[in-house]
Amino acid sequence: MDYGIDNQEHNALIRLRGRLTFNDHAKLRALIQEMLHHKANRQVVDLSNLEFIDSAGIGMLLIAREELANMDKQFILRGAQGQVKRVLSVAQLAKIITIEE
Amino acid sequence: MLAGIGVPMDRLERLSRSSGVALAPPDTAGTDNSADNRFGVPATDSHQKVRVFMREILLLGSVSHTAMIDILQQSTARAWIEVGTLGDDALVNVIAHALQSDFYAFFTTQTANACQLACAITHALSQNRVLASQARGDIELALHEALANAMVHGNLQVGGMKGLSLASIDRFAHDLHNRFSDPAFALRRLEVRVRQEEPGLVVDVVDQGLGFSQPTQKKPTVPAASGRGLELISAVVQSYELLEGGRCIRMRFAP
Repeated sequence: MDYGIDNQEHNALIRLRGRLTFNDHAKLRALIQEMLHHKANRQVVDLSNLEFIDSAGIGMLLIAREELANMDKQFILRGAQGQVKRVLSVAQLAKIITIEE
Repeated sequence: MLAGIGVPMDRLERLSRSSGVALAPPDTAGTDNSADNRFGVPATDSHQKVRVFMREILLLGSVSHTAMIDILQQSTARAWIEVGTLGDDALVNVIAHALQSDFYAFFTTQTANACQLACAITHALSQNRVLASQARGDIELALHEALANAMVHGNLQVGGMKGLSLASIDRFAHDLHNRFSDPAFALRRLEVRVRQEEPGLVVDVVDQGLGFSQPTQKKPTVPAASGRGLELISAVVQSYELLEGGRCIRMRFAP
């Protein structure tokens, strides 16, 4: 999995690319650290280029949300499609994380 | 038929005799490096295309992970068996198991992880059988989750990320790294057995870990970072059951 961060006026926009699985723990940890230190209070993660996510990936997104919430930062997912959208739905993630189209 | 890449010819001949499976004929077409084209000679580590034959049992010997990924992508074999440290007797046994499945894979945890085995197997199945894209996506997800469970929790005996914190990721990363570096865990085997039971497919994923019993208690009210693997599997399969003390998950897919 790869990621890039765009700084916008009031948001940080993080774009994920590739596949997010249990093997990507180091990358996700680095990303979470960057998000925690980013000055924007609203962190939007764009999933439109993420092809695949597994249950560990879901768990790591939940960790991201929790860690950001502890710093009063918002964590929003958007643009999920295909397999990723399906998995987010099955895991009922919308009950815990704000998910936009 | 029996074929090999990175396996000495004399060993292949011995295994063919012991298992009663005929050797596949040498490939005479296509590849340009004729010196390395002899059947059974170790593949080079470059991206040389390797022709493999329809529906053979493919033994994978001295092959790098990089080369392995290419080989699996292009393979039309009915079985992939990583030779690793297995002796002849063990291999003959594994070959016999392979013959009982329509598709079969037997890899160490280390290699299975490096080769994205779930992806490779789904690709191979879709080459041999018409799979609608939804079906293909379902099989890949279920196989990935089952193999991840088998690798991480089964063979490597690493617990899931429990609390919702960076510390959980750190602990997981630490344990995973330690176990992947320990041959006693990393060389434990994974087995995938696929059978067509018309109209659908039955897929078994088997590990060599300590076993598992499915918790009977209700889902926790506090969300956890771990524990959704079986939930995802049950969303995409027709049914599943845990066998062999939890070392085997048997998943059924509707056509």
